Amino acid sequence: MAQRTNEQWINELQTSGPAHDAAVADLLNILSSGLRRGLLSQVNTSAPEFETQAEDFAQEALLKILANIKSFAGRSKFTTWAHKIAVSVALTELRRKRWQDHSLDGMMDDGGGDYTPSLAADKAPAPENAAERAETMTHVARLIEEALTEKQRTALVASVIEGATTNEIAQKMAMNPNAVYKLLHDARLRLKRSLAQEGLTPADIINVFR
Amino acid sequence: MTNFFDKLRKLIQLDTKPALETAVPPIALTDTAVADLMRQVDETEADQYSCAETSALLDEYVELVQSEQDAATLMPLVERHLVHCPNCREHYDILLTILQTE
Repeated sequence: MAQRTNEQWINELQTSGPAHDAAVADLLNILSSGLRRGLLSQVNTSAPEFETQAEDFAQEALLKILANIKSFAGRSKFTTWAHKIAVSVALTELRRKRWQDHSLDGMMDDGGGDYTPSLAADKAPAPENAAERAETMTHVARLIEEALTEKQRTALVASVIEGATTNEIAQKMAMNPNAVYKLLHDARLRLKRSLAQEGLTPADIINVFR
Repeated sequence: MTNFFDKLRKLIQLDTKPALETAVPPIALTDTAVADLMRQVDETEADQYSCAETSALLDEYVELVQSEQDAATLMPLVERHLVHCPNCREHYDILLTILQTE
């Protein structure tokens, strides 16, 4: 397979003729091979299916790369950029399949909005500290109730109490995972600011639970 | 620590909502959950990157890591996002595996 500079990749993929065809074939080969190596620990399936899946992802990624080639900024190797797109295509599809394969009915179905912790109870604290912990926990719970929007609270409680992943929360809330990440980030930032307004820091709270 | 509880008790006394009168938190947290949450809150900054911003720079970042440069110092906002975002972290891990096995 020919070694190409970034410029050669761009030129050959954007022209027509034998050079273009060779570049497309080489890139497809590079992407398929990369996905097979990278996804090996991610895909739980038999080898033949896995091979086909990697080919399909590579094909789809190739179309996306050709459509977006002008957005390549040249800050990395062209092939690294192409691999990034291929992995994104594969993960999007694999995550969609994971959601289909695993029912999330039990995740937050507890009667519409009130959450019951699914985690095992923590070890009992020392008696002299128990009251302080309870007091602090009550205050944190109240901050979550009062400082956050309903959506932020739903996502944060699912994440912190249920231990749900961003993808699971996204599925349950019918949101994009990136939007859930932003929602959780904003929720944590609000809590931080609310604590600061009260003259408290997260470290103050953490110290109580040491 | 005494100072912290003084502040906390003062805050609680200022709050007149009925729910305050009960010792049961309205959201059932655990010690571990509160501590984990507060660690996350402590690390959260206003200028964190979004997933899209991180994704746009991920190829550049992963090449820095692969070439053993100090990626965390050179691209701290990408680094911070990857610590907090499991999806982008998964993307990064796979991409790094691909480059490392070339």
